Amino acid sequence: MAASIARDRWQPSAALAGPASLFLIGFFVGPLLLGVGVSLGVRHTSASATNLGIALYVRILTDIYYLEVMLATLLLALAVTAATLVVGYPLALAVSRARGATRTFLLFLIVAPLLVNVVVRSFGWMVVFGRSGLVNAALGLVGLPMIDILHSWLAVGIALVHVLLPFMVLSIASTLEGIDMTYEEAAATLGARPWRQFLHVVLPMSLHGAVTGCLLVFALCMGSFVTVMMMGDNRTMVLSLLVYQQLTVVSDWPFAAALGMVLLAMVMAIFWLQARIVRALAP
Amino acid sequence: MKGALELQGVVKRFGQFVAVDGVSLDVRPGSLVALLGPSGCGKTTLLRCIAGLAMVDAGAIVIDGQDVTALPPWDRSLGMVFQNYALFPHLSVARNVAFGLRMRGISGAETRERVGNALRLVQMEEFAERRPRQLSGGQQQRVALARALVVEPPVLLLDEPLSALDAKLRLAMRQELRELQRRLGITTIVVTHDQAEAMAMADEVAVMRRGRIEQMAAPETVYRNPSTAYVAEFVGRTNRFDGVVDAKGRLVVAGLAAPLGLAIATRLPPGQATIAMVRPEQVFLDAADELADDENGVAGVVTDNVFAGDHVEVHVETGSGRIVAKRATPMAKGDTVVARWRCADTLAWPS
Amino acid sequence: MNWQRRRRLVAVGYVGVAAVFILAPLLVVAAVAFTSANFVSFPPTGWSLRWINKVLADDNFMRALANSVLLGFSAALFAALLATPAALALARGGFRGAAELESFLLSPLSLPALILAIALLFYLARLGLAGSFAGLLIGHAIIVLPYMLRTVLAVYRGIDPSLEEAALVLGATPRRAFLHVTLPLIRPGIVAGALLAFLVSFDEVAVALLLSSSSSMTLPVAILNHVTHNYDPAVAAISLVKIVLVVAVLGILELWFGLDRIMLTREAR
Repeated sequence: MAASIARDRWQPSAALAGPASLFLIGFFVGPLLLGVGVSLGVRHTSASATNLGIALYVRILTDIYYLEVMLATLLLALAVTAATLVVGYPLALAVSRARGATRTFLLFLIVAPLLVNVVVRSFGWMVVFGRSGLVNAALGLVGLPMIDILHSWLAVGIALVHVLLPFMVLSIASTLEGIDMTYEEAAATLGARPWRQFLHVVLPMSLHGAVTGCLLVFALCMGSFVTVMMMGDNRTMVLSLLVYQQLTVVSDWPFAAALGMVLLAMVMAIFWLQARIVRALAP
Repeated sequence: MKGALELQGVVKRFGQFVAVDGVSLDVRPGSLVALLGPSGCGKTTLLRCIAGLAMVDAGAIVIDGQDVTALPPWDRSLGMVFQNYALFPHLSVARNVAFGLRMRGISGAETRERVGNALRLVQMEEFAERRPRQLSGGQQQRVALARALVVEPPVLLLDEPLSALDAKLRLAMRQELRELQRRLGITTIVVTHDQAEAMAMADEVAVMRRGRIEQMAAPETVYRNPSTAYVAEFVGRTNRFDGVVDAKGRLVVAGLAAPLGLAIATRLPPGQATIAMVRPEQVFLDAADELADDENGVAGVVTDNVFAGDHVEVHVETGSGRIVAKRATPMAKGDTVVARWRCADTLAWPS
Repeated sequence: MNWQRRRRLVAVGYVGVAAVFILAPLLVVAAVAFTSANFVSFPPTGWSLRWINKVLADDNFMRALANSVLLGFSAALFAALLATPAALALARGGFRGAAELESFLLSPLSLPALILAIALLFYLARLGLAGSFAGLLIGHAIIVLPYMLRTVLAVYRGIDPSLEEAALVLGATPRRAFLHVTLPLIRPGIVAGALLAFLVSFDEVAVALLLSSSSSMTLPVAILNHVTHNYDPAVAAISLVKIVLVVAVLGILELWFGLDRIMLTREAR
């Protein structure tokens, strides 16, 4: 009876969340722990294992090639995040202000590419940038020479921005939804033109959503390899693609696991950074 | 900056719906005008038109001789306090108040001084570094006021400033607002649906209905000489009689033995369908049935006493319906009484 | 032109440019799907339905499509069964640690799918499930659960608690209050969440790539395989089939529930 007295209204039991929690612990936390274990060489079963345990991590962190790949991955993720932020913020503003049919159209516009599959979209960009693609066709019309952007960091970057833009926009738009219009009106009556209303009122109040969006895009970018695989070549190597190759082509499971853990560590570090920033921003 | 505000035939439509239907008004500099009416009457829309938050479809808004109709809100330099105060949550009280100055490029010592003065004006100097969410409703309202006033606008706009406060605080703030406004001598427009508030605060009350001003006059005039039945009913309690004027200029009401005498000033033709009203405080109840020549009397039975603190509302059931009278003491239920009032106190309009 | 009109024009201009950027690859794919040539080029030299017919008749593609659809439904159903009671507990439970539990249950959202895929690969291989449909189902259920949970939570939090309390006062036990009052109210949310879950699963690549075998291959994996070996319009054709399917589901979602209610869920504190 003590348990029911402790609650002051009828409430569903916490046990209802049990199945979901158990499922996650069993098939999410478990595998991740195992992944760490495999990277440390705990009872691996792959065919060609190079080195084991801590030696793997040492190898990753001291070989210049891997460090370069890590740096490239980081820079790409930062660039893509910045680009999606700049491109996505106005879109988020437009969506949150729109009503009725316009709003539905905008949401559709933003969401549809998100769910049409990264392979299809990357293929689309391959056609746009390829030798016999849209860009070159357009250039040809105007009389300019053909360019080969495909297989470059630029093409990969643009395609990634395209893939990840919806996440940024939705994240910011969700926060903007919660901001009452009267704040902007108050700023207007105090003498702020629309641009200044945005800068001094809307932006500070929606920073939370922007930070969430940036983190989401950053994490997704660090983990995306299909786009890079389809649009890039050996020069454009990122950590996630390296992991994938080690796993499927070289079949070096422990090494792949180790690389994966390094990737995970990088992502976690950024999340930790986020928590610090959010705490500092919170009024 | 004198603060003369003039509206000329302002019209505001939302699609097919006409929210403001050709409103013209003239506000004397330094006076407080209350826009009074039920929700949907257009008073808030009108205020937003003055502020520039809504663009008018027709008409003009003139402030100190300058036509501001086409100006966006940030160029009109007015002061506005919103119903929910709209204090920027991410800024401290001092920075909130400084916002308008910042937009005008004023900074440094001058800002500090003016912000300090504004906060002192509303007695909130100690809270300068707090955040809005740490303040109570009444405190937030004062800060919102300071923020609007610090830029020294010619006109101050208040949108239901007291509706979010509880009853006792509302009364206190009402008085404070009025005193502050008088001290500063700033032209002020207040939107409210509370008639007691409007009457207590305003130099002139504009009673609105369906996008138009039915009557605009001093509170006492609006109360004692309402120009329509709607205004009469909105600004106070009334006892209503519907009837037809007879050949002698008196009102014949169904269910009443004798026709009612109307005020001499009321000149309504015989046969005119009419609405007549008298206020509860002007109705006296006693047992006597001798009436003076200039009095109306209606017989009835006391059915209820409603205690209201400083007076009692006595309900009397008569042949024409219920009459309510205000008295100091209650009367025994079931007693037969005569409700009397002076003919001159009877308000009447064609219906 | 007043300032409101000018602002509108700038907004429309920007959205227009963004729309072109967003839709370009999709429209290009759609166009190439109808080309009559043997190779991929834009603009297409001629128009024909041959590639679409070829793809619709291709066993590999069609089997992968069937797998994807089946997997999507299964993952959505599984996630719904897990997420609905969890949402109930989180929204009204009021127990200590509810916020942390919610973060935990939503955490797969923040993890790069590749890492989850690798981890699952090792784990399921040990259980002998790698390459099986069950393995794929588990992987997708993990990924899809947070989406489902977030949607149902948002809908449930939007319902006034006094509705359930009124039912209790009127004599309903908690279970009956749930069945007769709560469930009908959140059912649209559950369905919307399930549709969203389906779409996410349908689209998922990383986990599918690592956990598929040739028999349990999903559509994105099939497309990827095809592209890496032959760069021809068949890819565009099958992609178009996929686009049409997704747009149709999105259309249903919008008509039934409204896209903005699902996509713009306000973070509940």
